[in-house]
Amino acid sequence: MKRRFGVALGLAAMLLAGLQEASGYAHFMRYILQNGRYEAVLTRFDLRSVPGKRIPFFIDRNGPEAMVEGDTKLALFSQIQSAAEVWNSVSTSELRLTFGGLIEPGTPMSGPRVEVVFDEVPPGLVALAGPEVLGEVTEKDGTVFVPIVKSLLVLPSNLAEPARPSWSERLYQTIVHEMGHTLGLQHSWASGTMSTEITRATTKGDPLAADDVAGISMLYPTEQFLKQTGTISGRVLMGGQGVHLASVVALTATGEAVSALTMPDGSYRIRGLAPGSYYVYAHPLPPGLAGEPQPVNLDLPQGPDGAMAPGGAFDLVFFPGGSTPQHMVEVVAGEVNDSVWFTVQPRAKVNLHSVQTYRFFGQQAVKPAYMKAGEELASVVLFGYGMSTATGPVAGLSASLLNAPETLLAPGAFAYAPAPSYLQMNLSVPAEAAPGVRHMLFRQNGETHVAPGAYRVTKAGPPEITGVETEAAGTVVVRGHGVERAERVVFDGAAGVIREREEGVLRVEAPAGLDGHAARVSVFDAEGQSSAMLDGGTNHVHVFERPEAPVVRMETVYLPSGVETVVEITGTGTQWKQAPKLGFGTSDVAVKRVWRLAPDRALAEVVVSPAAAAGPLTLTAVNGLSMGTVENALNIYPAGIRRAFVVMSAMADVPVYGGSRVTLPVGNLTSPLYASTTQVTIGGQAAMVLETNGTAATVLVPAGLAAGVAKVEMKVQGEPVLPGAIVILPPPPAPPVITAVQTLMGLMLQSGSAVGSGEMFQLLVTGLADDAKTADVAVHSGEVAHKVVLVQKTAAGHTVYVTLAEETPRGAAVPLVLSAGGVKSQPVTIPVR
Amino acid sequence: MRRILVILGLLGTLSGAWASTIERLSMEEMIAKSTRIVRGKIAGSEGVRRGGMIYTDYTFQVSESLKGTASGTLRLSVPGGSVGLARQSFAGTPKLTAGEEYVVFVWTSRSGVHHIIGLSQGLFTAGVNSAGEVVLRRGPATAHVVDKQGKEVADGAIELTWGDLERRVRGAGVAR
Repeated sequence: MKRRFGVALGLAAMLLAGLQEASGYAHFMRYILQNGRYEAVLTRFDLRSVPGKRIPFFIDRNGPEAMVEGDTKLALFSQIQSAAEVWNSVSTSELRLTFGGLIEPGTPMSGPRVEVVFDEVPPGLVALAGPEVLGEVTEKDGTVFVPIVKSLLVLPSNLAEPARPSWSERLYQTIVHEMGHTLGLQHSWASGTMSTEITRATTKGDPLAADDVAGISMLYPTEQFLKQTGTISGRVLMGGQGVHLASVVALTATGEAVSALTMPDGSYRIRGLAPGSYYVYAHPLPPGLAGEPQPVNLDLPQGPDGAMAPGGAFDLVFFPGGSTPQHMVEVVAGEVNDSVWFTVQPRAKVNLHSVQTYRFFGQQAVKPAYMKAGEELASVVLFGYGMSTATGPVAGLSASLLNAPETLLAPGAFAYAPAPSYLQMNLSVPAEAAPGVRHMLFRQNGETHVAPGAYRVTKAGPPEITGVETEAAGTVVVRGHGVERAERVVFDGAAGVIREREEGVLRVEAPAGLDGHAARVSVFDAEGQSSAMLDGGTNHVHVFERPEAPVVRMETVYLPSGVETVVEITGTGTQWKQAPKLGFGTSDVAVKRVWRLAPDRALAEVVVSPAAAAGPLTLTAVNGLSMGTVENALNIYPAGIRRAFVVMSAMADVPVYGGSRVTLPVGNLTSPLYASTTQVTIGGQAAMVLETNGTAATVLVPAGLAAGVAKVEMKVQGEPVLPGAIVILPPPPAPPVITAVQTLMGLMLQSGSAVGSGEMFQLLVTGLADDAKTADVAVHSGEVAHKVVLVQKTAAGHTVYVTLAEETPRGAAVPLVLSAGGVKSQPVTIPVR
Repeated sequence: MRRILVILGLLGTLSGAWASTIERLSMEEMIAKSTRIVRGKIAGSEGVRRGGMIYTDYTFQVSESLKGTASGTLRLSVPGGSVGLARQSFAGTPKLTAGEEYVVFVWTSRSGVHHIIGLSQGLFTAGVNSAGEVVLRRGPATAHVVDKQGKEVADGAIELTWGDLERRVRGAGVAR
């Protein structure tokens, strides 16, 4: 169902259920007026329209024209792919980005996608990103939205001047942030990655905050999202009228913040909150800084009459009132707490806002400030708008911690002596302080500002690399202080595999790389810290030695549009240890799955869109830091040409074993299938065609095939069909067999020796695993579960001791089933008295 | 001392707050890096697609110039806009109003496209003060700005006259 915006104003009330869920986080959106009330329509990708709900992203093959010395396109491309993985890590979001290959900008394609391009940008612009829509409101699965047809992320073609190295924390965070925009997120004011760069309190080691997770999960929710999290809702009123685009923030004392913006009537919903207790406050959006085009740095929601501006400034207020957090709001999973209303008082303008804190590690300034539990004197440098003059803090400025266990030492915020327009504060961190995010309050002249995520407390300092050496067999030894606490070791944007760790030493299997490539090595710990906090990510490199250059090969496969098939990729020197990432440089060819068959051989399931443009396509294969391309790997026929194909998508959930039957649907047939004229091979072995129904052939999978992926090749009337693949599962375990049911004396249970409730009896069983445990085995009579007391190994199998459940129905032949590992025995019957 | 420079430099570069990520430019940098500095009015606009990107091209009628070509009409490109049914959004991009007078620091790419320098940083509304002088204004807030060397930049939030700007342009050694 599709409507143009004008028509959308008259959308039926049936759509409202989808619309009402839409308000909240700062997304790209527009309002429609429904029964006198504004409802939000969000802009997002339509995941149902793409194979596997995967949105491809493409990278401009040309890369930047200029980079800093020692930097490479390969390193930058790996960081871009790593940034995409950040968004893929959100378990409560269905959206998954998948690398679609390198492209020439402007390549025509029809499917939804993200394009990362390099372009001449004016001085002062680092990056920009946003979605493109076609002005259509779509209703699918009960939700109403504006589908994104394409998103663009533009990076400068000159990364040398000003210097923006690929390994820098700042460029990485910029890419993660801008990628968030491409997915439909705008700015928020809760210190997540989607906050503006000023108030962002995320790091490369911990790039997403709870606010970001909630924002993306609202757009692309999994079934678990709403079940596992709760919602706070209410309204923000000023003079009895709703305040538009007020920011409402929920935060725990030592946890992260989640925010939402209000609708034109002042209503809001903060979704995605973990169960627990929260302080909730409402605040006006900060004014635009110099050079910003509007008071809020948002693409303002479009209403029926154009862009709708935010409401006026007001005093920050905590629920239920006042500028001090006192009352916590309870959040229960799956429930909405809709009682959190605010009445706010107007003020002329917002003066205090946009606080940023820094801490020094050596000569590196790290933002936000990190400090260790047990530090008696942790000095932090900060800057906030409206908080300082050229000589120190503005008169009457006070700073305090929001229920944090740390102590802000007197005199609070004071002039930072080396640069008095900045402020300094000193904190004492108790040894027992729990690690986490902390928030601060600033007050001046009756105005209050909350800085969520103002600083972080950790258990230990950041890991420090002192040396990187290459051992034999591709193992890299990373030495340093605290490196043994590493969660990840990355080479540019690709992670290595940690093989061994001991104090001060890590042995890491490096990702695949090209000979001579010098990758920057960084170690990340579990607290969001990295060695780059100490060395800027520049000091330690690993130079790959790989005399045999990997070469990827693929013989040109000609395909019509609208088909599915598998293609084979081979290579020399590829050394694939896992399936490579593959892309054909167009959103019209989706790579659904890739299987590694050997270090130099892979099989890929591809889906060609019915709208695919004719012509050759280039394959890009990525393996760690190694990237190869194959020109004319696929070639799409002009429209009108058809070829039959095995419809793999129709077989996705069918388990297949060696020796089992499998039905192979065939698409694009020009005449019905007949068993007599259909030949099938699976994994290179002939498969007997058992029957056909005109559009599908049921075949017997060769019994001797090993578990794993197997190519399915078919000929119909002598003509080859585009092949498919099936995944052959290991043979299922044989079901256990109850060979006898006995009393504890070893007598067969008979009518004269029927068992009563609460009494114990024994089962003689074969087919259980030798090491079967009592907890592995269950015994049921219908819905009634009996208690398994003991499972004992015997020479002939196992003896299972069971106590008959109280609620067991009486009778001469009550069924009894034993199950182990999900596999059930055939039922036997026992007499119950 | 290096610490100070590092932090000042960091703050200077972190001052951007746009959906598009911006690096703050001082007035001197904008004067130096712009290809034209012009005053004029918006006569109209249209959406155009260049490569994969939609721009709104504003027709800018130049009435006066402090740098670059003295007069004429300029097509000023701002990222985002509409072409047919397609609409591309980039938060943080300015929307110029037809009939409104502006002062623009223009940067022209090698391909000949005229951009506002720093996305919005090089865009000022032009008005007239009580003395009858043309006044440039940008940004509603007073921003504290330093450059990449940590030096204070006094013109973070900007309100200056056309005459002041002319003196600064000439002071920078820029020939008209």
